[in-house]
Amino acid sequence: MRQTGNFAIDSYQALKLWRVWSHLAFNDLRGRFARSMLGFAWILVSFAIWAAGVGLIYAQLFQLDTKTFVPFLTIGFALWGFISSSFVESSGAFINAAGYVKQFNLPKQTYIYRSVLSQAITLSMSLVVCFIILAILGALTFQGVVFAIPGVLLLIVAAVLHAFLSAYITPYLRDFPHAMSSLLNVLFFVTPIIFPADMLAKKGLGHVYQYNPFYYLLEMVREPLLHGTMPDASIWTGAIAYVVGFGILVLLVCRHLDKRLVYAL
Amino acid sequence: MSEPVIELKDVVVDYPLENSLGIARKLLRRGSIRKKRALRGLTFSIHDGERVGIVGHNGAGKSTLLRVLAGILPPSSGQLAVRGAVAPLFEFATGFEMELTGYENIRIRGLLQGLSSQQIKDRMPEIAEFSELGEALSQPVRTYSSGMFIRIAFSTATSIDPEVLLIDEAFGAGDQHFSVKSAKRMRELMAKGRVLVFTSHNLDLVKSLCTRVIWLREGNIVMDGHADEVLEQYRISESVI
Repeated sequence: MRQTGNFAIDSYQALKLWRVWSHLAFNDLRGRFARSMLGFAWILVSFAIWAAGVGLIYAQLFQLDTKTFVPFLTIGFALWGFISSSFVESSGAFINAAGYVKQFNLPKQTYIYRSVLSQAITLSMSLVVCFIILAILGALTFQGVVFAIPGVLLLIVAAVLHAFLSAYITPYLRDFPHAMSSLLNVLFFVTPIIFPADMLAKKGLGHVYQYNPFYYLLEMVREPLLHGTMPDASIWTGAIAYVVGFGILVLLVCRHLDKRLVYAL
Repeated sequence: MSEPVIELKDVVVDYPLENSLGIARKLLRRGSIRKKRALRGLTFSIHDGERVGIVGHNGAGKSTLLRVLAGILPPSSGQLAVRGAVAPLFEFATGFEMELTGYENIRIRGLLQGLSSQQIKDRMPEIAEFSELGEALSQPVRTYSSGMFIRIAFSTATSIDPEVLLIDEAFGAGDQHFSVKSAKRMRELMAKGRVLVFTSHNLDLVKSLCTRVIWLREGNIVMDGHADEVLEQYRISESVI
């Protein structure tokens, strides 16, 4: 399938090449852990160690109930890892595939989907650990998982949009992923992940999370899983508004950068 | 005469020279980026069954031209039409997954060339056999020599029976035996009325395979015509310099 040069058409056509980008994504994950003993399982192991360690320490530190806090922390961390990688890891989607981009005339958006898929696989493995933790604490409900699905789907759409922006800008502006990484580090500490939202609210700092779009994306998945209920309308609207707005940004920026991107690789 | 398979009109290609700061400068509209002009308004057509060799010094624009024909480098201006499935053979050792085996890389290249999983499965024995890599195909390609990369790339590319075969200096690193074998396969493809465009410094190979030669110098066409005539002129100018 040749590139048409039309950004919207190519982005859609590239979706249809799912056999190609899923094959590449699986091979990427395999290659990343090649020649290591634990291989794939490292994703689970490293996350589980983090969850257990930090969860227990922070619960003590903030004098919070482990049963509610540890799941809150681990789910938030798993989701945050996905959001963060959708900016930082995807920034190299075209650069790492430069050999392919300069040799084969496929719609290049293929390589963005490849990048997001491998991150989504990592996310699902982290979520498995979260489910295990929830189950151990007796807090896992079928209803909760079902209600979390729309949130996960929305999160994936957001991740694809983040990846588009990152992958298109970075070849032209190589500083972008480093800047995003710094910004995300800061955001991590002010987004309710390692502490609950009401901690900020109680100190009159509610606006810190209320204007943070990532808070809404996280809550869309966290609330159902933790409480078994659909998220509030305010959460829905916040999350959807962010995704739509970001989508418009992507359309404007990436379409312009698409045509001559290969010259920046 | 039927429609040309490849048609170029006033194709210009500029490479940007600046790093990211320069691009940022352009975005903020403070002057334009420095460019290197690689192709200076090329016009020519290639018809079914033609075998075209592109010769010229390093930096003449041969690789750039091939990538334009492959649809990989969009021209800065001018028109380009390519009618038919294109198999490019460029830049070996990039476009390979180093930790994966020869077989797995063949699969990936097949998918990137537009083959379905089933087609790759069907053609794998034949591709593997043509490459003559045997046991090595089960090894990760980071252990491969450049000649081995070429064998994989060539075997996979020609297995899709392309209408247009574009080859960029592919025979430098291959050994004599494989050169002969791949030249033979290329002749077979040509016999099916396909188009071949390739660049090479090996003028004897060009002469043996091509009916037509385009001589490029600094992004311009110096001569475009019968292989024998152009090559003779090219050789003369070479010896003068």
